[in-house]
Amino acid sequence: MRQTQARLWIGAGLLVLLLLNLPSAGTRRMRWGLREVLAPLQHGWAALALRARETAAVARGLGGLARENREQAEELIRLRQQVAALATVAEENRALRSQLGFQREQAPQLIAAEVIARDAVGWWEALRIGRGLLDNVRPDQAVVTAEGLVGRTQAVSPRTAEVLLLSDPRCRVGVQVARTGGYGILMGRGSSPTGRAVCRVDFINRNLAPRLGDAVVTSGLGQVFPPGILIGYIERVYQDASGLYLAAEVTPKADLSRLRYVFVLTTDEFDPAVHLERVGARSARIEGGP
Amino acid sequence: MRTLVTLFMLWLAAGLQTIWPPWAVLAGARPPWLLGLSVYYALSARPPRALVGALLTGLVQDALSATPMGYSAACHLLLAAFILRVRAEVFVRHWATQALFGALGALTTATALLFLLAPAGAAHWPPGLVLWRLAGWTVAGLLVTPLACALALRLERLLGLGVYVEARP
Repeated sequence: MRQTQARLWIGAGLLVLLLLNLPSAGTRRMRWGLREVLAPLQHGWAALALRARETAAVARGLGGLARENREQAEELIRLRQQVAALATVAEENRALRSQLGFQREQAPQLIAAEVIARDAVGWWEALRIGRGLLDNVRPDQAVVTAEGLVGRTQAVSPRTAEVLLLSDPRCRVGVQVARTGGYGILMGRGSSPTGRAVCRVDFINRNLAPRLGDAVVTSGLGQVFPPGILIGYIERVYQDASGLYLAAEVTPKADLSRLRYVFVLTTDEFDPAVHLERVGARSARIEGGP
Repeated sequence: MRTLVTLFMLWLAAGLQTIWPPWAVLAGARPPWLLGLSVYYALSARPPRALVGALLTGLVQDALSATPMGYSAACHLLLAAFILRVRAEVFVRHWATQALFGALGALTTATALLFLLAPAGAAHWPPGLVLWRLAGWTVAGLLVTPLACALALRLERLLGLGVYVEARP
């Protein structure tokens, strides 16, 4: 009996050692498989959680819903007016760019995605969405909400994609302070005690000092994030350790701890044949994670 | 039947762990339901089953995060080995024992993962936040493990599955 148990433990230990030393392509396939199997179940969980939240909202009172409905109707009218005004500006901009001989920019497409899970371990600031390669989602695409930038896609499987959030220290974004035009690099710093994500912008030019409350937007210099997407607002400005640059703490506008739906920005034309080929090939290019 | 129940509990635990919003007051710690399930099997199942439980919960946890495959499985396996070694000396059905092992398991697993994941960039947090988050994981393990054990035991009894009782030496 004791010998059998010892053999079992040795076998399990060897299995774990084998797993730890598998080439990344092997573990990628295993991870893909497990994620694909669990994805429909997580969709179910997400739907259940949403239903529970909606039921709780109804239980809190219909008066609140009516007020919310009225506010959203007003917001819709305001936004329609803004869209109408911006359409004229966009047309004018297109005409001017054409006269100057600039290359025509392709407008990014928005792929709506439901958040189906959060990182299970807790040392990563990441979440998983229910859209993948089959929906034209690829690694290193910007992920946004109506409030602003949320992060970027990382590892993508056929039906799911992992989103690295702005609050993760591995997420670096080239940014610009909207008022001064000063550039910087934003990186995640985790969450505050109130649950709000905290980010830091490094390498801000001292001659273009930002002020508290200044908006921070993407600069578009890193190829991943299109320019001009709102990230958040400056909370604190200080001199960095070298004394050559300024650094600033930024609170993202989007509440990263309560995301339910997000949008993936893509400029690709959707071609199902290419995507099925990509999925079938399962090439190493797909994985963007560690 | 027992295998089906194990798979169902695994799904339930994985769902709860990944869909549950992070607890801000515990520095964003997630309730470690998968670890709780692993502790349940280590405390109350035959050794081969405890081993499979530890491996499966670890593998599912790795698959549902950016952690390289095998890291959580190794941590859960070591924890299960320790619990199997000492379980004859403790009251395995008492919630306090389960809470203690849950807290210990959450703290050691989170610490081990922190060091293992450092080369991949997961440990680049401010030191204060790391300590706070480790404390958060410990408290989350303390709270969640007795609940996971009670749920699993209730489900197995409901389905008429016999509960393994180890003879004390």
